[in-house]
Amino acid sequence: MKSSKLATKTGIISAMDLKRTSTRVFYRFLFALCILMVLICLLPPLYVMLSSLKSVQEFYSIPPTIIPRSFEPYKIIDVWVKTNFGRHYINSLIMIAGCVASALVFNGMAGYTLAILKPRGYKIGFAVIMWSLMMPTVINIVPVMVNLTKIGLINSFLPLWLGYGANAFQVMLFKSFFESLPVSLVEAARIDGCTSLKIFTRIILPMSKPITMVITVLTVNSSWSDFLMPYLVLKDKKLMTVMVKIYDMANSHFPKDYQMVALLFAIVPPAIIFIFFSKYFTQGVSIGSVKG
Amino acid sequence: MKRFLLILMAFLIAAMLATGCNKDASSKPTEELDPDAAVTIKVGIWAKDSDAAGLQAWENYKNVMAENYPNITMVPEPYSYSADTFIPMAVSGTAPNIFLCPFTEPNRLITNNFVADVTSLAERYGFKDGMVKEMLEVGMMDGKIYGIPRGGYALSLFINMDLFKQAGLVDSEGLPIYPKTFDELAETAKTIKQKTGKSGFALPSRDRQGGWQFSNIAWNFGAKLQYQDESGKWKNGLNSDGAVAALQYYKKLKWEYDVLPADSLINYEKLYQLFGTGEVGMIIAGSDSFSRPVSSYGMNKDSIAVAPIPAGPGGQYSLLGGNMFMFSHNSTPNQLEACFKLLKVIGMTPDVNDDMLKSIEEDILVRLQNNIPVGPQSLNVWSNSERVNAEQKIYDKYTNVNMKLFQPFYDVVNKTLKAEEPYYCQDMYSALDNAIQECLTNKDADPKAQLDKAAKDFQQFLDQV
Amino acid sequence: MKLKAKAGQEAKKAWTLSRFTREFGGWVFMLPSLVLFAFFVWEPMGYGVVLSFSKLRAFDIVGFAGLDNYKYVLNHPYFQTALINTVKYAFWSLIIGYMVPIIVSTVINEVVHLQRFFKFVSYFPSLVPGVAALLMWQFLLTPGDEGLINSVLLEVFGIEPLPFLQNPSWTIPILIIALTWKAAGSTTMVYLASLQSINPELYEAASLDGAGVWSKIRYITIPGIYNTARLMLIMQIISIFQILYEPMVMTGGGPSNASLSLMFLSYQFAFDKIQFHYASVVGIIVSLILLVLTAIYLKFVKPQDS
Repeated sequence: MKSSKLATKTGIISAMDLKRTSTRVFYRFLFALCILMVLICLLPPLYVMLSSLKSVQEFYSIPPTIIPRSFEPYKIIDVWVKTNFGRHYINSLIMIAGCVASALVFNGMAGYTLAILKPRGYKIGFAVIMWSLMMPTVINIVPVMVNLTKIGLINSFLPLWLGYGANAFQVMLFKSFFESLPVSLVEAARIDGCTSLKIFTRIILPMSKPITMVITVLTVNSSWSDFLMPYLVLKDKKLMTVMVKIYDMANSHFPKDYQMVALLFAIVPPAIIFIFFSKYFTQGVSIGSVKG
Repeated sequence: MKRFLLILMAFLIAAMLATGCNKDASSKPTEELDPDAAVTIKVGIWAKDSDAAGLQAWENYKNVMAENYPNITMVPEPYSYSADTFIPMAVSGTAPNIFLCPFTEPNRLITNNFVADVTSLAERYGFKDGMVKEMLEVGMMDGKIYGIPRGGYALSLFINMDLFKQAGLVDSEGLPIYPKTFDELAETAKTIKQKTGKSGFALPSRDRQGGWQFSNIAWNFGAKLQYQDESGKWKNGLNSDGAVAALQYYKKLKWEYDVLPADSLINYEKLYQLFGTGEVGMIIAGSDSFSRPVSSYGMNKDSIAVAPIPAGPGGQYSLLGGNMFMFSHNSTPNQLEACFKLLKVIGMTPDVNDDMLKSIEEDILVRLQNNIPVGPQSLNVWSNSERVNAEQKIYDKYTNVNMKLFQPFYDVVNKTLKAEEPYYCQDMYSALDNAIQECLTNKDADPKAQLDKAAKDFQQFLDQV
Repeated sequence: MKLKAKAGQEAKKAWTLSRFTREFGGWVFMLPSLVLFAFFVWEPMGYGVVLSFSKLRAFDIVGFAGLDNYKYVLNHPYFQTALINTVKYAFWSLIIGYMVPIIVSTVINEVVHLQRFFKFVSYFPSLVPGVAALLMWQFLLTPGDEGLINSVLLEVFGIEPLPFLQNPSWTIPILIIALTWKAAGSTTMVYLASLQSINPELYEAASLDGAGVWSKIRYITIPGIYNTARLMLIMQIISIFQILYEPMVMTGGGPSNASLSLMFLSYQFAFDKIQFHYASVVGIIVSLILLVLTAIYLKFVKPQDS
């Protein structure tokens, strides 16, 4: 199956190029680079996290052991039960679901407005949003907390979700993507008398799969590992998300290796979501709809 | 372009004006005190979810509170203090009404108006007269009381008995032969390195913890770090002879005797890790933190011994630290009253009574269940000897370690206690951190030059006093 | 002449409702997003500006400070160090952090065997929680013969142990490597999406014309991802100027402030010293620098019209 993929390959290295030996060697070299990447990206963190199954004393021994002397897999069940991790998983899932929806809708609409609709004065909107990227304040959290307290939105997921709808970087990504879509499609639709909304839902959305997937994955990742806002806003212990719980573990009686096992748990859902969505990256934009 | 900039400016000014109003969502309440009114308090000292035994103790407290004071509702909000989470909470008024924080915090919390004045309550409930003055003073400013000390500790020398035994540094009774001066410390560390291959000693150098510990060592080498000159102006002695000698000593430990671990940029968490996993023989740490290596790193509770901090040419001082109950500044008088009643119920009271004894006993049982050493106690906060003895009796019942391993420390500590320097300590520790890091990572660093720089950097803070 | 006059007349047409809807109606789409920005970003930003000109007691404004706060920060002993360090961070980030995702995404896109697996692997570091990654680097980078990298170097190659983070001139590049390790995955994904949208017929046509691998890269791939790369460049600069997490947890700003960044300095002002006005000043100085850089960037690096 793989060789047939090679036979019909297009791209920088095409099936025709592969007839030459030098290109074939080059292809093998690229493959080797990918293997190197696997070693760099996958091995070290997996080593550290699986090491959590060693005894805590061995985990920290100097020099660290590659072949473990101890093996304590029961810790996995122990940590799960003692921390009631399932509940925290659910809380985190609630969080990322809302954050992804918020990010896609709000940032998407903003990007769409700036790229396609371009109402009068849109350049100011663009500049102001771009500018918010450049104005870092570590103290942002304080006025936001004060405002949230004033309107009584503490202990609710809502402010956390909405916060992800104001992401300048994602607005830029959406804008850039929409700008790369063929203008002729939109113009044709306009001439045919479509409203902006219809253009958005009938034409733009179906073509937006790649960017939607990218934004989804980015948002899942950052909202899953978000710590400070959930910690401050979700005061009820029952609402703690996974990352907040792990931070909490660091401050209680839990031994360090239990925290590492919890980190193992933390990686699984985002990884699964990514694997599921990355399938859609291979579906490119339908440029074929514009001929000539 | 110009028009664009103008519009940007206009936007900015508009944003500024819109936010001009004060951000204080937590202004001081002006309620009258009514001890029987219904009141709700957020309790930051509640046991954590993970602490099954502690939760049970708090269930008991909850029942006692409900029985005696049915008008008080408690909301558990267990909170571990850290500056970057506390400050947003304090400003937005969402901090717990009662919480614990280390002794290094009250000064700046009070200055920044984040905690409530509880002077009258402290007088009424007997804390003002019943507590050790030095402890109480940590939470006082201008004669007003803002916090109730829970327990104190002092810097002490932790000894890893396993490594000492391996190095042959124990006497006939199995007690450690611990160093009493800094010279002896260097020698002992060398022996450990030679006989066991593990580092003999480790010290912190970052996150301002390096400077914190260093200040104690500098005292022992004779340094006066902050003092007033004849005109009353505050000067610093960061580059005095004593301090330079102390930093020189640090350098020798690293480069000449080679007894420190290879990683020179470490903080206390790493120290507990190294100590708890048997990678270092001795560390200097707070005398109440021996539970850390045990619970976090799986150390055997019988492998810990505590000795007094070694003496130097300038004396033998032990830096005083501790934990203090403090109260969020937006608490109403009723809430504060409720918090003090809670303190009584959990055993924080100068009176000796059955409830108090029972809660201490429960607290100890919690620790036993978590395999934490019981026996060595925090430094005493009570000045009332009857109270002290009552508590001691309970401890004697449950001690689960060999107290002889801790005795040397307790014999000496009360004579050597010294509180933190008065002003801008965090900035002082920052400046010292840099000097320490430079000397530990650069073989040719000059301690005097480094400390001259630190002194210069720090003086501008003292000039503001 | 006459036409111009007529055009001028056209422009002064009346403002009807339908015209208003046409010209400004698009803003409706963006309104919710703008409200969120106002609440979460602009209002705190504006407040930060106000703070930078105020005298503070904790978080309460007690007076107007004029430019005093700015003078204090600019003269602060650590400010210059932080500024120079941040420029160094930017420099290393452009060399290492910018090129890695481009190269990785292009390579992955070309390899058909196990492509989905490689995509996952490239993204995996982004999934690793910060705490776990930190531990990993500690294991790898411990100086002396105890760290993993050092012991491998020693036993396999016979090289003396390296000091890594203890050496002040190495800290910044190493922190950039750590940051790139974690962050490159997301950027790679963005580039992959961009690479996927290059019309494959272009490549086919080029191959038929006899173009080699490097020509195809030069004339098809690079123009194809140019707009994305252009956006990513300025994004990278903006983001690296705000680096905070890595210096804070990996080195604490050390050794001796060698890895102190501007935003870490701001953080220290805010949460260690409770001096929010100085923290805001640092933030504003950083944003002014970034504004200037962006303006220069927009002037000289033009977008490409396909």
